[in-house]
Amino acid sequence: MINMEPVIGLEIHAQLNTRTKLFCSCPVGQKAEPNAHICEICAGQPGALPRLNEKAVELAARAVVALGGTVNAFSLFSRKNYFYPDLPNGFQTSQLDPPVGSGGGLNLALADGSEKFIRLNRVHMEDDAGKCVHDEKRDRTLVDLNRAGTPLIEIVTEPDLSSSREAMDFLKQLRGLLTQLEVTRGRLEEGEFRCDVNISLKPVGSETLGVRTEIKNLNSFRYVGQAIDFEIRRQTALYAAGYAIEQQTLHFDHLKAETRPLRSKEEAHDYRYFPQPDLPPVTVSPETVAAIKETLPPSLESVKEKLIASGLTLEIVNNLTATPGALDYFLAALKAHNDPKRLGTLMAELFLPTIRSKGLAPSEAKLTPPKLGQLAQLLAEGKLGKRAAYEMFGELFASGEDPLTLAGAKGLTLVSDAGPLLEWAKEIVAANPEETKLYLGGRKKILSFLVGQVMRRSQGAADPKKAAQALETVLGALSQ
Amino acid sequence: MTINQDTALAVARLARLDPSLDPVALDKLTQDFGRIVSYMDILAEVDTTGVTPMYSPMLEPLGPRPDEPKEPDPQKAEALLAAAPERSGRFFCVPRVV
Repeated sequence: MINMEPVIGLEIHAQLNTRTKLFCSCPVGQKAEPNAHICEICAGQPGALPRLNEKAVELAARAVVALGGTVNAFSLFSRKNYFYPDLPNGFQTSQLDPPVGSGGGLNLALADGSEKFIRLNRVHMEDDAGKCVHDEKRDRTLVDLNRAGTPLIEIVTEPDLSSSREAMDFLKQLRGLLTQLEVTRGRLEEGEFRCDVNISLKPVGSETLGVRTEIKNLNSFRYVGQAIDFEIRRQTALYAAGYAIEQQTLHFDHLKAETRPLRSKEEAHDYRYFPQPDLPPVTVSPETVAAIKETLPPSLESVKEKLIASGLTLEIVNNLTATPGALDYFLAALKAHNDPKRLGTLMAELFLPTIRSKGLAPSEAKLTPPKLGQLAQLLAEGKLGKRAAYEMFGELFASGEDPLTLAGAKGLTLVSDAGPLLEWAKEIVAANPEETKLYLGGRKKILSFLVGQVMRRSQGAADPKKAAQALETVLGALSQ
Repeated sequence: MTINQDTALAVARLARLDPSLDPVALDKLTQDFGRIVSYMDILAEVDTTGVTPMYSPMLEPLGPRPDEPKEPDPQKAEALLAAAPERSGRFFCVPRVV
């Protein structure tokens, strides 16, 4: 059988971080009763005239510049016609040709430390649809138009991705960048960042792409990974059995972790795009693009390079840049403890997993950056052991208490007073005559074994560095 | 462009109209549709060589607006809900689609 490899492209929808909708002044992103934030325009009433939100254009252009694409000086909105109850106009206002941005790409950091450039095809603006809710009791559909008209950008990649891992890492990196730039709030659980996946198989080394399927509306990185893996297995099995792949749109059922057809080919939409006559062309001047370039923070690439140069591993750096707000938190904590490596490890191993499991943003944590810095400082000074730090972290995170106070209260601070350490050292030396003899005979490495014994005797309370000094004192006295 | 019954049926399906029309009605619809579209063909007779495409009929289009929210208007929302053929509380109500 011919070996096949997957070819994956993504279409990412990111809600733009505006206060109002794309074509009217209704507020977006606020909790409200159903249909409280609607007007003639977003509810699609006849004769209503849409008017473009200038902030949405600015944010879209900002994304294009940051992604290395070309902001088109002139772009057009078109009507994309289809019927669905959450789309009151009977068309989505989207951009076909030309879109606000063309080209660009992102350097994807791969697990082995290398990089792969993922090309972008285009970035365009469009409005979001409302929401449908199924009414089980009466077997009908209820429609809420609060979300209708919310500004989105759609970012379309070239089919440059080749695994679920790459697709997930790309999405994390893209979300990290767009949230850092405040282009989108990027909250997945709110549907502010979601994607469609296009996937096909081709013989290894071949240039010809196979028939592709499209998995719609995935709003979690994990689902993206599961859906791609399932679809690769499904298509591979079909090829192996000699069946053709049918071009179709799929839905991912996350409970069963499988894809299912959403619409068959016969019902594939014919969108009959045409320029939206109610809206003038969108223009972005070269001056605006230049101004955006000036206000962009240093690129993520250069920040990452600096962090890696300071001794952090690529994995930790990716961890810090993939979580919105984590990098700012880290930089603030560095002011309290200027050892990026120690602090980065604490962030990656303790802080970030905890905020993720609790669904918090770094800035919402009770444990403030200076306190995390203090924790790193205690570890550096040997006042707190690594195990103890990990043990008390949950409580420290929940209470936001002073790390030294909490460690003291829990009896976790390390013993570094000479008195008890010398007592333990004498005890251990007396109990291990063989090892003592070897040490005195010149086998200095045996010291670490003896330090281990002191740690055990003290039930982990001894400061290992100070314990080694105490042992050297006791052993030194014996050799004289 | 000529409109045949297949095209008329395809358009009906896209518009979510019942395609099981009786043959007489479908025939009439197809002819009407054909006449409208061929009327538009008159436009194609104009020689547009070298003419810049017109993207908008508006001579002085409304420029973009600032991103400033207006206070939601409960009366307006209520009027929109009231205008719907069917509602349920604060929701618009349609035959089952999901």
